[in-house]
Amino acid sequence: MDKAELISKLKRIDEDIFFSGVLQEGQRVGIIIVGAGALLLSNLSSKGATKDVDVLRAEDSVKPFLLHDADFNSQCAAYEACLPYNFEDRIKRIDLNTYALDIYVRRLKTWQ
Amino acid sequence: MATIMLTFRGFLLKYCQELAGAQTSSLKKLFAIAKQGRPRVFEPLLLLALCDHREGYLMKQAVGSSVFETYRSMTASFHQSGLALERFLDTLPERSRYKRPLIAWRAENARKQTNRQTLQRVADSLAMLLEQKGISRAEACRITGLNKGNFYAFLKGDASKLSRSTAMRAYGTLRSLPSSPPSQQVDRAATS
Repeated sequence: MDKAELISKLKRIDEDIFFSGVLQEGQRVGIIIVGAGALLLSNLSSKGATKDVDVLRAEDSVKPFLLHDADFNSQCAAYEACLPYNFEDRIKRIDLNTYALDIYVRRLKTWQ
Repeated sequence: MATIMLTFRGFLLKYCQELAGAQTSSLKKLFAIAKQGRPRVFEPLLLLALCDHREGYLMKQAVGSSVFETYRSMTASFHQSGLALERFLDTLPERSRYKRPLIAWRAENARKQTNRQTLQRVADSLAMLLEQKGISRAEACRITGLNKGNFYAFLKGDASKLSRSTAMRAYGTLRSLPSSPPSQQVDRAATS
């Protein structure tokens, strides 16, 4: 899928979560996307496409919505082992005008 | 428009066609495409052949290819199990490439069901929003550019009257409007 398709999927999942009632009024939850999907969202992908979307972190309440889509997976535990210490401080939010999801990817130049 | 749930067989054909990048139902052509550089077609293609009881024909196409032994082994396991195909696939390990089409099919059906549920909830939320904002349905149609008949029917529960993207656009537009002051809401209630 290309960037537009990925964004469309994320917004659809966001809408499903928002209208499902699993979150309280005004509550937002964050997810961290890594891999090729993250590069795509950051406009750093040379291929311009990804086969699937690796979700590193997501709250349990919203995981079923993400994993309902066959293109989303959370099997990247080995990847997390390679991330630097306190990588959570080195992520940036991708603004997709969502209702409930805050989508994060790794920030460029995390070594600075 | 009613949401059509595909049978597993119907899904497999569509899946093979998408992976192959070709709108053909010919096992021979699909196998040839898989061999020429689209190996992801191999597994769902065998499943499609099993659904149609044409695995023998597909095995002939596979003679001499890299998948012949895997095809033979999978076909033998399936027949020995005595199970229906979906049940047999359920017994395979999660990471099995032969199981992925089943997972994808179930995910697609679940997505369609979720989509229907979400649309119903959007309708409920829109009705609440109109009340909170003190906007009549007619005014909402004027603001959003929606057809009155379709919008009224959608609010009453006919989720087929608005596409998801249209419903979400309307929701976003109306949600961003300021709420009317309580006095105006009382006036509207009095005159309605």
